Amino acid sequence: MKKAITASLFIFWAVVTAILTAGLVFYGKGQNASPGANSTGTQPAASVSLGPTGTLTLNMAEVAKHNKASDCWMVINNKVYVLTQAISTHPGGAASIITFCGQDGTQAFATKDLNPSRAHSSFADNLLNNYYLGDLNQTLTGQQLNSAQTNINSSTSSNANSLGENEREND
Amino acid sequence: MRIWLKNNLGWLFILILALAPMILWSAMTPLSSRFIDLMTTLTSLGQLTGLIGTVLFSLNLVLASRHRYLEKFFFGLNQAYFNHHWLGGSAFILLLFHPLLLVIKYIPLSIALAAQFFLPLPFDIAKSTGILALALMIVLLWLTFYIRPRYQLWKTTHKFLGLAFWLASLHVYFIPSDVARSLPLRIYMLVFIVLGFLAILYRTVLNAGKKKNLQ
Repeated sequence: MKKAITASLFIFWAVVTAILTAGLVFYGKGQNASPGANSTGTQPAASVSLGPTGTLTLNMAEVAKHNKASDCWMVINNKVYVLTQAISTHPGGAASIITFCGQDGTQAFATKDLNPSRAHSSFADNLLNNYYLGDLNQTLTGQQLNSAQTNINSSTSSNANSLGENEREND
Repeated sequence: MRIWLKNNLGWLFILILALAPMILWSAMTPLSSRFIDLMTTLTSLGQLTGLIGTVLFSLNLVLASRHRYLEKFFFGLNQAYFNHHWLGGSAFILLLFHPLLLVIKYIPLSIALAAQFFLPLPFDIAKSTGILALALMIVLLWLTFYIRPRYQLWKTTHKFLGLAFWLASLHVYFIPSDVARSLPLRIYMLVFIVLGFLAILYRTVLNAGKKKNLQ
């Protein structure tokens, strides 16, 4: 047991020291702490491969593929949202969105994933519409998908800054 | 088989209780989405090590209460202490790997974000209590395993694991996690948190009372 604990402690301290040192070195040196943003300020809303019929069904299996901060889809109230860009501006921190990328985040959105729960502001509810891709289990054609992506990109880039300011005020 | 079962009933019981949250956790969301890629898999394993580690920590406090029934269950005080040693060590290892597995998800995004993950922040009490609980565990178990101070001193320091358990309980209950999202899992973890505290209460307050009466 002592050997196992020694090995675990060694791994633990090695990883923690490495991450803290690297974090300290890269802090403020252009290392982007906001994972949703890229250099141009806009981001492809979705990276998808259409099926043989040229369509895409927005089911949970498809949503689950987009489970990264760089490609984050989420289901909220049976609607699919592309929240990749919201990650960088979310006042509650990136982690609270990243955790639910590729999953159903209905409950988390309704409760702010807090215990006891807290509801999002009506402003946030409205803002969420800007990230709307389609309904869950809806089948989109390539053209519909492109159109939705363009809408998300244009509306989110103009609203990105107001999200943080207004959410903080409402909190 | 029957003899083996009788001899290992204590460990089997612990194993079932420790693995039960895993079943509740896996029932929450389809497992395919929990293990869809490397990052998600590591995050899922991080969640599991936290859940199982906490249950083992609580069970270990129960084992340390030195209740007569438990001693019978584990065939005497010596054996119960041997199991306490193993159980505590296993819980500690799992809890050490809990943040390590969870932080990996942040590394490709931002190393600064990953570093922040290990820092206790005053406005994030839920996370900070977890960090402080683990830090306290590391110090106290480092004393136990490597320094080995005089018995009375060690005994006093070891009691502070109750404080670590209290901090860990706050972390489990208030951190936005699967425990917050699933009522069965929350109840299950709450039962073990209460069990852990009852064991601390029994060992410190009630046993101390008994000793006074004997004197």
